[in-house]
Amino acid sequence: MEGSLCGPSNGAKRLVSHVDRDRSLQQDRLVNGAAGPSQSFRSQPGAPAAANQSFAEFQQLHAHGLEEVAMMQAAPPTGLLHAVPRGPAPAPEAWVNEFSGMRLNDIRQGLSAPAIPFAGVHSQPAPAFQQHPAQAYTAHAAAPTHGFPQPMSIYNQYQPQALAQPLYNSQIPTAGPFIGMEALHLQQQAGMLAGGIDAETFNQAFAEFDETEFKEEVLKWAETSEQVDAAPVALETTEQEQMTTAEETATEQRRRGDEQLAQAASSIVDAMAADDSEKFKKSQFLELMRRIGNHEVVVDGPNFVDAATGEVVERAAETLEDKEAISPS
Amino acid sequence: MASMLEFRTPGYQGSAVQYSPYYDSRLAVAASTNYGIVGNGRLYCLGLSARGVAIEKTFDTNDALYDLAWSEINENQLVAATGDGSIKLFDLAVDQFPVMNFHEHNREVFSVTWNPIAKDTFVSSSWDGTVKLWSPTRTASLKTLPIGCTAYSTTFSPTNPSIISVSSSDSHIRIFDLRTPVSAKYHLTTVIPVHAPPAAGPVLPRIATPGAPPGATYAGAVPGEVLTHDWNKYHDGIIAAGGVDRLIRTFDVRNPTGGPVALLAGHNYAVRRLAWSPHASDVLVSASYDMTVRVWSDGSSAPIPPAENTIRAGTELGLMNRHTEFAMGVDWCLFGAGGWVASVGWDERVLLFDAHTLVRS
Repeated sequence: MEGSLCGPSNGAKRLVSHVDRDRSLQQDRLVNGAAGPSQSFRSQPGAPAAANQSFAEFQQLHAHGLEEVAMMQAAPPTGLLHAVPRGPAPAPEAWVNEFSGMRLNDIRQGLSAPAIPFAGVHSQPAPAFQQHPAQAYTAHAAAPTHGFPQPMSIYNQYQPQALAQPLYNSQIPTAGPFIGMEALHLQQQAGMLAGGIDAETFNQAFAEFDETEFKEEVLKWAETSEQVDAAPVALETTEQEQMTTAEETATEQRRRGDEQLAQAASSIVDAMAADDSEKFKKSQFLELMRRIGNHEVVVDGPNFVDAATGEVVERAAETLEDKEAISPS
Repeated sequence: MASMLEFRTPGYQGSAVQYSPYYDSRLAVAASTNYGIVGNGRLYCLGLSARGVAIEKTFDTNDALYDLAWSEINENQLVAATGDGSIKLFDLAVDQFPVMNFHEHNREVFSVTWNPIAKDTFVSSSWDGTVKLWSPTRTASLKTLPIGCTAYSTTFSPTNPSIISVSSSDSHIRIFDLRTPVSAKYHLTTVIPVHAPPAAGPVLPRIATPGAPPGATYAGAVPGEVLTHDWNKYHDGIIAAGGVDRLIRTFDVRNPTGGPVALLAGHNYAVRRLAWSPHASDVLVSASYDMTVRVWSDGSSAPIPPAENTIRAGTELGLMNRHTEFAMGVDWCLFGAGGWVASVGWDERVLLFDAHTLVRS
């Protein structure tokens, strides 16, 4: 009932629930009589005789379908696109073109096939003859004599992507090869699919777009923040255009870095100034920060060095007594 | 304070510690020279034995280390977050060099956490304002989640491998659900404003803290940086967060704007790291810039539930005061009778102790 999507209810969700529903049990009703778009999908209680009759009709239609397929087989592959409109219940060409256009768009954008709204889809590998329409018809024509496998392969030509194949297979697993009925089906599903797939396609398209755009934005942001950091240095160097040796620039940058570090150190010392506990008085880190803040200690390579003597600042060896004295009971 | 094991990392100040999820006698420490300001880093793998704590292996890095995470899928591997923006995967069977290097962050990586359920991914957060999801077998990130400001800590939900939470410098905890479609919000599903007053209800909730004056209400706080957070291991959807405003707050992600569930007051400076106990539903431990490690109860196991519209008061169960510099990292051991804690600080020491010994009777 809830489908495979979480979240707030909306119009698209109703459509998804339609698509999710298993219609395989309703197919025979469609075969009965002159299948038209107005016929109800609802299964109605029917006598066994009616079922037999429909089966006879089915077989006749079956033969009719074979003839038609054979006829179409003779046609050049380029003409196959018109196979559907030639059926007993012609599908409007508009949506077919629209649909194929949409698929092509997907391919152009390199999007993966959306599968979320179609919970029942079992991923079946797309048949190899998809790329060879003429062979597809051969296979299709052979299929009905064995039963009802892969009736929708005829439509593969409209869906160059693998998506369409498993989708339709799952929708109509046992349907007979009746072009008219298939057209009807496609026609009726068109609305639903247009809703479901469109939303998904657009979502993914937007997501792709967002992803790349986001990456660019992050890079841009990183660059600008780098520039902010480096801005004073850059300004300085433009002022000193006359003396632009690399060494001097490096020295200047180091001086800037030291200045920033000293400021940060001073702010840390200030923040902790109110604390007069024994531990904070003895803190070597805070002592180091004090010295950095007073420019007594500067950064040199990977070390802190004494600004006056140039010696590397080492941590004084701690005495064990200090630690024991502080530990609580 | 009977039993306490100590290990020194001379020349290197520890920033994070974690027990191995595979062995009760192994833990790792991420440490740096010069307090992580300049210089190198070193990853220590330590083993516990009858003779005390000994080094099993060390790995040196060119830049400071800020965090580490043991692999959940390989008992010999762990990742370390470095100051140059890279994340390095080390293998205890391989000397010196990392077996993988993940370098996409532009700034310091502050936090890295392995997925405890799916075990095939880990997540990192960085100063560059992004959180990235990685697979240990790929050098390119699987996903990038935008935060927009310094992301101090990130972790997975302990009950759902698709849920990632992030605490950041803008006083928010963001929760991402990777099962949601990548739409304009990049999987962002919930935002908890840590310092905001409760949005629901015209009446501000009372604070049940014993120290607070009677009738005191909670009206929020000045937004500050949230340095750390962790998910409760028992109560689904309870997160504790700590930061520069010294308080630890717990939140219920199902009511993100409802304000804190409990307040834990006691630290004198910013809370650097906190971790819920894997052994008890109401116990957590925190390490702070006030050089202490404290063990808390959030009061959720109290026999009497708090009155309507009242923020629970946490109680401080114990205090470990042996660090002589900022306490930076703390972690619970998953094994044993329960209650062993490791902490590291900038005093170059790793301390291992039983939290039960801290509890005041």
